[in-house]
Amino acid sequence: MIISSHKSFRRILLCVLATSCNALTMAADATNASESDSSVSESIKLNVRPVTCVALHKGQTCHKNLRFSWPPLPAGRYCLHASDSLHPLRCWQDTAKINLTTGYSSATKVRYELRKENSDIPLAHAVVKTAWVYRTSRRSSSGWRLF
Amino acid sequence: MKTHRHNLRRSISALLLAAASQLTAANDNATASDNSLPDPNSENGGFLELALGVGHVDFARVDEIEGLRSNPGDKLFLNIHGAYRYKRFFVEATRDGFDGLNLGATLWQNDKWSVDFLAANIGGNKNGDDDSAAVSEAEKNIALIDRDTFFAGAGARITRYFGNDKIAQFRLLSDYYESNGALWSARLGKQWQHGNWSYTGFLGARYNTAKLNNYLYAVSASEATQLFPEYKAGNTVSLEAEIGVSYPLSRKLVFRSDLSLVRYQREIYNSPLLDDKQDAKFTAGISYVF
Repeated sequence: MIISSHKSFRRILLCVLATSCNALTMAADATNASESDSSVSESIKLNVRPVTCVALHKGQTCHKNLRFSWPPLPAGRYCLHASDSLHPLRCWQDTAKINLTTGYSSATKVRYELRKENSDIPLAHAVVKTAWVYRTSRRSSSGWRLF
Repeated sequence: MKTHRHNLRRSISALLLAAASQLTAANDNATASDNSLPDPNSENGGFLELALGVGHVDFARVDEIEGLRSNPGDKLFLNIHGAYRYKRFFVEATRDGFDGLNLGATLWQNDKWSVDFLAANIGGNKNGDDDSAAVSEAEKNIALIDRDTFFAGAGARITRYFGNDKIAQFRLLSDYYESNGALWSARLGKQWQHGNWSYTGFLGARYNTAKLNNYLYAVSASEATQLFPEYKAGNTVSLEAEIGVSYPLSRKLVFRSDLSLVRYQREIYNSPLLDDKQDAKFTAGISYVF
């Protein structure tokens, strides 16, 4: 009986220690991952050209080919996401890849994010906006012709 | 062998639009980040632009006489276009060659209709010469091809909007400068966008009263010469068409090209002051938008 309770106490103690270690390990992993992402994030600047897409009349959708570039990334698989799309625009493995071109079509603006694959954490981001030459509505800015 | 004068119209447009540009700069606060579409019925603002380009014009009106006057059809042009609206009031000098300068006010409108009062529709040319002083045959010939075509009228304009890309418009105007007659016009227009290219097109018809046609195209007995015999015109309906393309090069620069045609009826093109049945104009240029 005494022996049995002693064993139970050891089991509980081991379990408590193991749980604590596990928790500490998980916390450490998370910290490392976060530090890793943030250190990557701090060092990455997502460049895009052009940053403004110009259409003719206010409200029109603007179309443009965008060229993204960034410095070399640590080994891993990365994706470029757009705020107007559920799915990543492009994913790649090659760490040497430092640029890509994609199309822009928006009447407002789109935020682009560089993330690790299957991650919601942006490593870097850039915003492309639509601007217009004629910034009042067609109706008031050019009489009957609208155009 | 042709000449066309727009100096007076350009001068008036320049003066009014220079004033409008000050208001435009003060009121147009839209930016790239301001992407909400305001109610067009309540929006103030407008634009002013300088257009530099080349063009070829082939007008029906005789504007050169061998040995007296010549003018190539190819032109280098510098034009001012613009429009500004403040509440109900507007001034328009749009880039097409048919409407001239409009000053007016919107009497009533909703999202599909607009009824405007045009206090002034100004177009044509005024040379300021005293034509009665022309005595010789050559002087009379010059006076006839330099004849005033100035029109300053008032009237109504009704516009129907079909979505954001189609429009129909009816105008009725009567000249009050020298009571030189009246006109009405009906037009249908449409816009297309392909990529960042904007394409426009319209078809229209214009009715001129006999009084207006005689002011523009008739030759009286006292004006008549061997080259330009006496002529009297009646009412006419002319057809208008225009296609255009625009492309934004930057936030301030726009490439634009237009081709416009006006086809006259027999009552007009039989006038000795015309040597063709239609006006044709092609332009291509760069506009700087303030």
